[in-house]
Amino acid sequence: MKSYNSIIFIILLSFLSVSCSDFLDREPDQLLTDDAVFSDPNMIQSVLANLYGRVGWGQSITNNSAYIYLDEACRSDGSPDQTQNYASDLWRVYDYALIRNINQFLESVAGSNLTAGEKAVLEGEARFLRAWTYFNMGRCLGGVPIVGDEVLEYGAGMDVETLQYPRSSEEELYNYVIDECTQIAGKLPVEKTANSARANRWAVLSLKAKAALYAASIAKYNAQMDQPVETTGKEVGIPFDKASNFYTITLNTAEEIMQGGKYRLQNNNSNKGLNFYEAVTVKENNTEVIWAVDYKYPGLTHQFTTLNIPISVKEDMDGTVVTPILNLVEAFEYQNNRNGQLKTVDERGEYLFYDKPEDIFAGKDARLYGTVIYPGSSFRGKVINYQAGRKYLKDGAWTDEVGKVGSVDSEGNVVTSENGPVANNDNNTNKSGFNIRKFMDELASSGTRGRGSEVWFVRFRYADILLMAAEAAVELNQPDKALKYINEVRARAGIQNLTSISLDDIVKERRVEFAFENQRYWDLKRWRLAHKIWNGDSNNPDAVQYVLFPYVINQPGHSAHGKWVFDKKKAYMATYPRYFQLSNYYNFIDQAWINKNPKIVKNPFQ
Amino acid sequence: MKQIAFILSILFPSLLFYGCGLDNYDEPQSVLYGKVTYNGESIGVRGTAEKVQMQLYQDGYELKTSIPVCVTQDGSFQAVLFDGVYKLIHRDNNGPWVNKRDTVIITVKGSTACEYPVTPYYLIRNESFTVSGNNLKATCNLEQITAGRTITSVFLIINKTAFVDDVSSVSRVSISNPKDVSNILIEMNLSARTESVLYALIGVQMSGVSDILFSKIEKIR
Repeated sequence: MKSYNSIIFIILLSFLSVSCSDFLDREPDQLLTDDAVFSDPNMIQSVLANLYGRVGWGQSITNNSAYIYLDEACRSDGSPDQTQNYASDLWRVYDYALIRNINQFLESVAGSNLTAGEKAVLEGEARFLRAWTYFNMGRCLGGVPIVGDEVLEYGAGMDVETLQYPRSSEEELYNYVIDECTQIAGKLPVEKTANSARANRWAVLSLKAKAALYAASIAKYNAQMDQPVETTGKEVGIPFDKASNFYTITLNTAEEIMQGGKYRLQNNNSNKGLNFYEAVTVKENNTEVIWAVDYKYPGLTHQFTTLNIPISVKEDMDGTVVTPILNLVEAFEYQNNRNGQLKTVDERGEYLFYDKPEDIFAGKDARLYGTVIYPGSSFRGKVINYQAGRKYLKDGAWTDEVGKVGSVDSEGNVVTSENGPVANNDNNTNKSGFNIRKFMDELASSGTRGRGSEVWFVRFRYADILLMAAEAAVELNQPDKALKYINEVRARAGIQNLTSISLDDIVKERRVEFAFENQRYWDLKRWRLAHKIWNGDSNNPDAVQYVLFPYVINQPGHSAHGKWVFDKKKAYMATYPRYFQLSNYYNFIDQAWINKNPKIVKNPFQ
Repeated sequence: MKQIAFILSILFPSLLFYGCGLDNYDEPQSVLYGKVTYNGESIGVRGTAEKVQMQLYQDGYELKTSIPVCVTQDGSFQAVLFDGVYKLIHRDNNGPWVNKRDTVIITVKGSTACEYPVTPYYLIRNESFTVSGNNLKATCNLEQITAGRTITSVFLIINKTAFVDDVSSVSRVSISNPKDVSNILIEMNLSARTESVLYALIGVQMSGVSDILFSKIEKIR
């Protein structure tokens, strides 16, 4: 009887598990078909936004620590950084997943029901992002496989060799980027886009001018090396005679952007230092920025302000992680003196005394204020005080009295400021005597972890167009034109006009104009100057990082009591000189790429 | 019955721990000792940071990944390998010698010695280091072997360990574009040096050559 019961129970139970509907055959609601996406303009924008979000490489405000590898900044957080050499895969870009996604996007847009006008804009933007991606790969690796509009797909039984593209030559790669830009410039609107976040015609032309300039300078300066960096198939290295053609493209394209008249050097604020800060960092009413990575609260913010804010005005537990070094500060000229070295001592080696700490920076290029927070300048309406310690006379020699950060003596006088600088292993403690101002947000609470900052990161701006034109004009032996363009940039910075010009002036100007804008590394590479400037010699002041320590004189009765003196020191946080070797001009090709595609040849020195 | 069950319960799991052994190799045992030479003389290079490398290739496999072998500062290198036939070349544009990349075929069987002949641009001859008081004096003669490269600088480097090169150093004095390369003299003031042990060597930087040619290392203190 008992066994009957259990059999009946099991049979009854089995009725419950009968299924009559197609309950299990549902369409997944997390995955959207191509048709569903590309029939809805908002969805298409989401896909495009995804592509825009994937094209940032190298130094940027979301890759804070990348700034310490060059001669712009050092770490000011924790123990010294041991960087010396440049990794063979530093900032390497090889993103064919992205290229394929862009090509899929192009294919789907072409097959959608949008109007021809809408299609043209979307196609133009996607092809611009693709050209930008190739440009970024090219400046890391030289020539790379160019797959065109092909969406590569592997099917069973297929000959895999048809998917294996060889590397293009370096010249072909830049030509491809230039041709793409030429073709799509007409498809894109001429009007500015919101916060310059989306590409318009002028962004495309900026990329064209830049790609041509990179190709031109590689052609010219690689050939002038004792041992040009090149491969036999010219995957790396561009023939010398191509240079002038590329320079002409740059000059013509840059002038086309100027004649377009949509952008100009921003010069709205009579305070030139503040004006430069606003021109680069502030989005509202900006007349200069052509293409930028935009951020928006809530949702998409970054922590650049939180991480690098001076300690005395910090809003969260972080601060002063990466700070500018003296090398950068001294690269800024004085208004009437092209030598920007700070005068800390006189000819006899005796200290020069300054009434106020900011006096040593008086008469500097106004861009210094817009780029760096230096002793005595203010940020967020508060004066930022840097004081490493005090000096007093002991046996006729000035001797240091240094305390902990934020320490005061028994009378309440500051010994060492909470902003440092110091030379120790503490976290979030200034160790260079400066802070970054460019891309730092003035807005309250933008320096908190919870909110973050929505300041943009600039990729192309009008000053770059002017300086690219000036450089191309110098190389094409048109000094008058070059002087006109470079002096426009210099006048905005409040420094004297140049009367003659050479590449060296362009090198100096670009360094200070575009500090922290991810330009210098690539500039020095294309000019083939990096291995000379960062030669790893500890006696070379360009390769070694320096910092500036301000002290106040504490010697009552002495005429200098209460005045300021400065010590230049080797940066405690950068132990070794920078050493850029010939093999660093191009990243190494990863062995895994060769294993997948044996047609890829290695780069020089590999 | 219970005992048998107990024994079985131990025996059966132990089957799970059984490996067949056939698919495992013994680790490589043979050592290749090599030296980069010119006419039998070894050439000094930078021995840190994997700066100068040889590449070993072995034919007959699907993928052609080389085995990197780092050269140490006296120009020697060694690798632990399986027996077999290997091809040895130096890395592209690597080392202070002419970039010829000749292949040397090596049959490794047990402990094997080999030489990798190169043609340098220059060789450092008759280097000598003398210390008198706080003054270190280094002299040498640079012999040109292959034309085509000029010497951009010659430098004297000291370090507190036996690893001395352009980046591992405590002090360096350099001469740029020396005129008379057959008679190099570099002096260094040691008065600020408190280290109890010091090693010195001479380095030669040539234009368009990424690696520096080094002399032998000598203990000077």
